[in-house]
Amino acid sequence: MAQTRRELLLDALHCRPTPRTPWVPYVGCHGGKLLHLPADVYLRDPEYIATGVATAAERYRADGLPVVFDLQVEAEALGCELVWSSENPPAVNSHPLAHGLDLSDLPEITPDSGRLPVVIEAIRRARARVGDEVALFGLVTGPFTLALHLLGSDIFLEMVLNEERIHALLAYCADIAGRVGEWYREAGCDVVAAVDPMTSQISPAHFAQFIAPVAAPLWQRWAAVGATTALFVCGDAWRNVPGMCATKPDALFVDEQIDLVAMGEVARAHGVAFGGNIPLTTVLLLGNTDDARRAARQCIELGGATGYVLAPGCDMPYDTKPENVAAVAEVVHGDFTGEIAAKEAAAVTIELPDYTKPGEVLVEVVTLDSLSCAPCQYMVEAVRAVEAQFGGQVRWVEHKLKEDDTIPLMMALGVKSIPTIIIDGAVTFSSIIPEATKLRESIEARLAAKA
Amino acid sequence: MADFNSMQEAVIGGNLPEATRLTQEALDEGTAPSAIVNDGLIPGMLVVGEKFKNNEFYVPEVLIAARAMKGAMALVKPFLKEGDMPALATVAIGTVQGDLHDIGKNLVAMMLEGAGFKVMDLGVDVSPEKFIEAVSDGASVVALSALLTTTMPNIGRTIEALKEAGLKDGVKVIIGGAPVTQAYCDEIGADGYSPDAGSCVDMLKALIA
Ligand code: B12
Repeated sequence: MAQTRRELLLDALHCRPTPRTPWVPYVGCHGGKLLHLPADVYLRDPEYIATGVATAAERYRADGLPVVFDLQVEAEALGCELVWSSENPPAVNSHPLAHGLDLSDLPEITPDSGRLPVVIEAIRRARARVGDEVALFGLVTGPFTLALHLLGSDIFLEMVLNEERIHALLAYCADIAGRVGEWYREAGCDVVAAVDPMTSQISPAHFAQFIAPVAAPLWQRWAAVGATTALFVCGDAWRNVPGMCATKPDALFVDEQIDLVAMGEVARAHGVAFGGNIPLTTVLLLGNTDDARRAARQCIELGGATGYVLAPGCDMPYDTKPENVAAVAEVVHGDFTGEIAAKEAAAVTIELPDYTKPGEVLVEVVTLDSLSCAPCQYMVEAVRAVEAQFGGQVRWVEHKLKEDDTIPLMMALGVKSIPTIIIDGAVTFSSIIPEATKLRESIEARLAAKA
Repeated sequence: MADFNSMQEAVIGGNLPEATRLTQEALDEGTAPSAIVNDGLIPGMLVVGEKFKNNEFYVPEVLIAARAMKGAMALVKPFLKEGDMPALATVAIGTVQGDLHDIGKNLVAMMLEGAGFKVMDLGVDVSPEKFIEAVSDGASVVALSALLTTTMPNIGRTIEALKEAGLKDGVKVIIGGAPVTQAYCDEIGADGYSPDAGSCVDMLKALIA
């Protein structure tokens, strides 16, 4: 049976090889934009949210999606006041622990607190809409960010002046996160992720002292109820990436400031999958479809073949251009129709190689990039292995999609999918890696025809 | 002779007891209050800004240093005579309307204060009217922070409002925040931009020189 998109994504999140890079567009309040609803209406209604998720799953051909991206849900349930906005998630406007309250004064949190029933119901309905095809992420406010909501900016001073208080606060927040994650898992999420942007603002020493001791048990707690676990950090968290990986979530998702190659090295050394980091503002919000495709390709190339998931750097702005996100999906699914249409409109042409040279066959392999796309790599290896057997009669080249001339070449020769093997200008093998004998026979036939 | 080096170190390390002890000692020895500020405390805070810029310091380290500086300043202030330490300028700082991010804004406020500016902190979600009020109350610099692409246009709106109120010519407007760039600053006619709290001090000093 064919693998579902959900299974493909879960494989990558557990560092198992996948036939292509999976992709998770963070559709948060942007779901409201897809339905022409303001964010403050969208984020308060389970039916709207489920419809937004289903719409995004289809339109953006997502392998996984967050159901709700709102770091204020738990804070609201615990008594923080919110300010709502039509184009952003709400924001926390009051910090109960800064106004004389103790942890013991905060209300008990239950699945009925605040907007938790909305989120939980939205998960159920989204699951019913997308079935088993698409993975769902339950996003939980990370302990440090929830602690900031509760205590306000004093938290930074207290980390130095009153360590015990902050340890207790973080243990409390991690317990809230643990419970909420369990409820989201029960409602039908495949992945439970803590979103903790505040951890980008502290030193590795403070991360090790305060965050790591509560983070590691949190992943274990969620794993115990069968969830795949992840940590999302928005902002420049580079210096804390090793510490984060050492807490061993299944995956770490990072923002655009982080170098994906370096990220990959650290993650792989820890056996942790990773994801990110298409630039939000410059590309998805303000860029065009070409920018989106270029950024997606670059991320896929830098992220590498296994244990990497393509995603934006952080929650996509409300006004993100849907065509840009769809363009990323085209790249992910190896669909070039949009791009070909664009190049056709621009009437870009190239000069084709000479396919008539006697005594020599030219084999061209069109790839995403054989260094990062596994099927592309196998295709290139197949050609390389056969080439050796022809003693100079076969010349081969790789055309990587990111190279300027590749799309025009594909248009000229009618290449529709990637990877593809072209023998003297004829599209011969597409998508499926040929057996060595088949490939050899095709080349022999061409040599014979030329003789 | 006052130990300015140790005083700087105490500020940099965020050591409030040590910073106040050294400051009190220096005062007792008869060191000029302005020298304590200019040679001991402010240079310490400038190093903090530098370390933050270079990612050696994070938000907690900066805040704790600013606290040590403030504690020491509180001891010196009663001894500063009128005209001893004229504030470089009065800065009204705030995060623009609709935006509640304040960590960066707070750091900028502290660095400016630490460098000898008088700072009026208007908080977050600050309307153009409130900035206008602050200028009427004596601010000669308006510092606007925005962290969201959706609130960034409110920087421009605040500048427009200052113009309409006929106040723009009398003040310098400086702007910053993650999505803000020099190009944006030029486009909307602000007077200065800097990417972080450390370089903000130099930028503003040059601007008002
Ligand atoms: C911490 C954080 C939060 C905290 C804020 C806590 C607080 N009290 O401030 C919380 C969790 C509450 C939060 C909420 C939200 N956030 Co937020 N947040 C961040 C994060 C991770 C770090 C910001 C920060 O404090 N940095 C540390 C400080 C020291 O740096 P800084 O603010 O840039 O300031 C420095 C310079 O910019 C400069 N500077 C700043 N101001 C000024 C002013 C002047 C005059 C000058 C000269 C210089 C200057 O100097 C400072 C010191 O060096 C950023 C990520 C990022 N890439 O920036 C997202 C980010 C800003 N947030 C974002 C979003 C979308 C939100 C929310 C809308 C949604 C959400 N996901 O919940 C809400 C909005 C609330 C609102 N209406 O304002 C987005 C903005 C996207 C966009 N481009 O519009 C970002 C970029 C994350 C992302 N990649 O998506 N956030």
